[in-house]
Amino acid sequence: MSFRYSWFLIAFALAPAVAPAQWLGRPIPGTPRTADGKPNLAAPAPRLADGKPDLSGTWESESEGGNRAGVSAAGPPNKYFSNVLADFKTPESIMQPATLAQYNKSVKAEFADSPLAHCQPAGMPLADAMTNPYKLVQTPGLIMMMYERDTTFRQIYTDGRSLPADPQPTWLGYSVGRWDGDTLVVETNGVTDRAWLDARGHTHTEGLHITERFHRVNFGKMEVAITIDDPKAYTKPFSYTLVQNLFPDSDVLEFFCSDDEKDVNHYRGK
Amino acid sequence: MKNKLIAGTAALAGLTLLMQPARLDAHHAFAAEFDEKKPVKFEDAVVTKVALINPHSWIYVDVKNADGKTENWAIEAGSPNVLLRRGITKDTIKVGDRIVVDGYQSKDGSRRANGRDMRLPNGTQLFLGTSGDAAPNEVQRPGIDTKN
Repeated sequence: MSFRYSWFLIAFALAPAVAPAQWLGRPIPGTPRTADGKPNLAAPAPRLADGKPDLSGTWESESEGGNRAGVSAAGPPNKYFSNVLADFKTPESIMQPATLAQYNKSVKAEFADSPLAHCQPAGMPLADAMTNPYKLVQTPGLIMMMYERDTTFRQIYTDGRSLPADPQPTWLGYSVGRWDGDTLVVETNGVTDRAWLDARGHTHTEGLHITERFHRVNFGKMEVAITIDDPKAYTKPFSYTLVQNLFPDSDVLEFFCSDDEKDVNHYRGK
Repeated sequence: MKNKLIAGTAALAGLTLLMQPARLDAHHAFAAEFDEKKPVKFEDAVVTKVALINPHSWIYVDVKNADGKTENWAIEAGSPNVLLRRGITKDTIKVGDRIVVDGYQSKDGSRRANGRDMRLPNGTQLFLGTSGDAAPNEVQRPGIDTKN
C-alpha cells in the first residue's frame, strides 16, 4: 500500500455516516445486519430460489485508495477508469497504429477530447468503471443495469439468445448473459467506435467483443473481470478486474450530464 | 501536542500535493481546464449563488481583489450527487454566507477555479469533492476533509 492510500483509509475510518435526502439511508429489506443494525457487508452473497447468486443492488467501482460505504467517488477514480492498459509496462506495444495515433492526439489535448468531457455517454466497458453508481436488478431472463450517469440503462438478456451477427452500433452495445457456476458471464458486441474504453484516449473499433465475468464475493463486494478483444485496435486480447462495492441502504439518483455544462468552452490542451 | 498535530497534518498535506495521482474525473480531466500552478485562496468570500447542477456544482462568490475592487468568481465542485452522498444538501451553503475557499484557477485566466476546501461561517469544513476526481482536489486529509 502506498503512503498516499493510507490517507484515504484513515479518512474513511473517521468519516461519519451521512444519510441526507429522500433516497438515501432507507433500510432495504433483506439486507443482512450486524447486532447494531448496520448492514453486514461481509455476509455471504444472497441467492435466489433457483440457487443462483442474486447480484441485485446499488454498486460502484471502488475508487483508488478504497471504499467509503455509500459515498460516491470517495477518491480518485480507479486506475482502469483512467486507463484500461494500466497493467501494461509498454502499452503502446499492443496498440495498433491507428489506436496509438488517436491516443497520442488525446494526450496532447489533455484528454479534453474524451466523450465524457463533452457529456457524451459512458459506453461499454467504461460504464462499469465509472465513479457513479448503478443499480443492478436481476429477474428471470433479464438483468437490468440502471446507470446513474445520464440516468440510463443497459439490458443483459439471460433468456438464452445469442449475440447478433451484424449488430447496429450503440454506446452500450448488445449484451447476453449466462451462468458459469456462480459467475455471470456477459458478452457484448455492437459498441459504437465513438465510445472510448476509458477516459484516456484508448479507442476501439466496432469489431469490439467484451466479456464481463461478475462474481459477487460477499454481500458488499463484487468482482467484475473484463476481457477486451478487438484485434483491429489491439494486437491481443487483454483483461482487467474491477472491484465494485455495494452502497447499502442506498439507491441511484438522477444525473443528467447535459443539464448545465460549463466547462467545454474553457478546455485548453498542453 | 495540538500544534505538533497541526504541523504534522500540514506537512503531510503538502506531501500529498507532491504525490498527485492522475487528474481525471468522471467528466473532464483536471488539466484540460485548470492550472495546478495557479492556486487561489479567498479568505473572505461572500456567496452570491449556489448552483447544484450537473455535471458540476458551481458556487459563485464575491471577493475583493488587490485593488479593493469586488470580483465575482465561480468555484467548481463535485456533482450534486457526489456532494449529497457526502452530506452536502441544498441547505448547506447559502447566499450571503461568508466563507473561506481555495482551489486552482482556470488555465484561460477567467475567474473560475476548481474548488478544494471550503469553510462555512459556523466553522464547518467542507471538502468540495471536486469533480469526484483526483488530486490536487481529491486527496482527503483527516481532520480537514472529515469532521472528526
